[in-house]
Amino acid sequence: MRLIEVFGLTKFYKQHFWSSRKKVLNAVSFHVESGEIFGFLGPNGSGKSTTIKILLEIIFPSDGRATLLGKSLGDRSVKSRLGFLPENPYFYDYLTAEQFLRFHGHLQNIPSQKLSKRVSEVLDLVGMRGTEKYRLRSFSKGMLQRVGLAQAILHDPELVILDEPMTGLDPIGRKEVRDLMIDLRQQGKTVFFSTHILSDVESICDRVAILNKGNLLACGRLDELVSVESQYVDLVWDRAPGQWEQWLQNFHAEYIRQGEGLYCKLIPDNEEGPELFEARIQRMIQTGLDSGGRIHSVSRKSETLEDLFVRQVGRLESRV
Amino acid sequence: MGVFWIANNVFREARHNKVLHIAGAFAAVLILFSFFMGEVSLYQNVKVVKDVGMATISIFGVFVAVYLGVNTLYKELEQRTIYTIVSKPIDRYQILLGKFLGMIFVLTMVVLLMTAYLFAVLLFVEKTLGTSLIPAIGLILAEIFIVAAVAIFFSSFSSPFLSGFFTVGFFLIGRITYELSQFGQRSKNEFFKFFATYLQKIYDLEAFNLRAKVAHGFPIYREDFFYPLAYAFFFILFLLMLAFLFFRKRDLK
Repeated sequence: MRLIEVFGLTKFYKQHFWSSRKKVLNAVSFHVESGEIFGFLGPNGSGKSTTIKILLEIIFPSDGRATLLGKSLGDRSVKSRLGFLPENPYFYDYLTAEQFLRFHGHLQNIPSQKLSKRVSEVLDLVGMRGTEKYRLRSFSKGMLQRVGLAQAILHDPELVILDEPMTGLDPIGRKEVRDLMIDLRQQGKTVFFSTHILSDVESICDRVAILNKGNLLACGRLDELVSVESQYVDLVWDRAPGQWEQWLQNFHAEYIRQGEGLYCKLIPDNEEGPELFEARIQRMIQTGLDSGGRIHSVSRKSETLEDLFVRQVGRLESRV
Repeated sequence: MGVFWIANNVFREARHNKVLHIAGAFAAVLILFSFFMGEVSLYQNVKVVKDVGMATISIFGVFVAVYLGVNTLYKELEQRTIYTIVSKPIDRYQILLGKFLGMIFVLTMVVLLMTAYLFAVLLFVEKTLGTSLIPAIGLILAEIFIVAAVAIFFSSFSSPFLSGFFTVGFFLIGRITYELSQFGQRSKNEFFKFFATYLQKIYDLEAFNLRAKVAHGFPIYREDFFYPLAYAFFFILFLLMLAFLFFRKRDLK
């Protein structure tokens, strides 16, 4: 089942009534399946938060439409089934963590007798147990982020939308949030989160969408988007083959000589297909061994999400 | 129920607001000062205490209404706390209504506290409770509610500075429409005569001013009290409905 469906979302902003309209989202379409962690990736100002705000009716689209949990935006019943954490959350600093969560619990119509138990549970889940009676004004940015996260999952929603949830968190906090997202997926929940931190996406996301300057550049499973073909191969020789300089000329490899050893880097040629590249590697290893070389390691370097991101964003930049 | 919790939060926020604490202390000092002003006026000390006391309640109440009205929504937008509220199963009109009802609660508490304080001063001066002031204070409260509704209306679509400016302007116009209609009746300009007369008929905050009457012990008739009260009810309803219309499709950037 598709929990989020977005069709041609477009948004224009006007800074002032006399200034011209600026397009910040350009016909963006994608969907999020039930039970997956979906990463919404893009540099700052790419339109991630704008898309999320449209989904939650904080702002309204100039064109296009979207559905949440199979219903059109604005359906009140949908909002009781989703949780949301905004980017850089600022909450009522005169409230204690408990008062803050109780306030949001009441807005979600959670019965009072159930609410107290649930508040303790979620504070425990986000590693904030013992802070119930402290005012939010005494919290660090990371602590506020965690309380915000607790607020988003307080009513046990089916769909959790998180806008830059890792912002302000230390490495341990980031790992805890990642673990929490994985826990939510294991409970059958769907997590949709925006970020510009690629490692977070790479480690937990089932599918991703890449957005830049309001344009959707790519969307799909990570293993489908990231090229599985080798980008280059590293060969490290403990002992270089005899007459290694002559031998290397046959393989067009970059190299660095280190004492007796030799480091070689083989990059596929533009016209060379994967099969010919494989054959070149095999030939190089075989002839090197035959010439008395001793190999230490062979490692293939495939495209990472970072490579994909740079490739996609760069492609748009060149088009612009 | 969402409306109640939003209103409750407005009250909580106001309770922690230092600006309101300082303004309250200032109003208390002013009411106390009316006692000394009464002492230096010849045989008029009780009337002066009543008049200055009620004027202080009115001015302070209007200040709180404008201050809260233009800030309560703006702060939610500025600090983006409204994002989490909008994502809850609650309609936008309920957010505005909750804000307004919260303000009503705060303003009622403010006026009740100051009235109790004024009564205490009067008990000391006159040796009786100032219960005769209740109709006038009731209408002061109704007028303050109107100002709060005007502030909410303007802040539903404009910045706090403009909202504050428009609200104060709207309040001041309401206070002079009676004098304006008096001028209009004597004017030879037919357009001005028509404008001033009908403006006073549809919008006249002076109708909420019973202060002079009660301070001087003049009789208060039912229509003096209930007509402005009914007017306040329908006017506030009208303003809130307009505010809902503007706020319904506003981008909360």
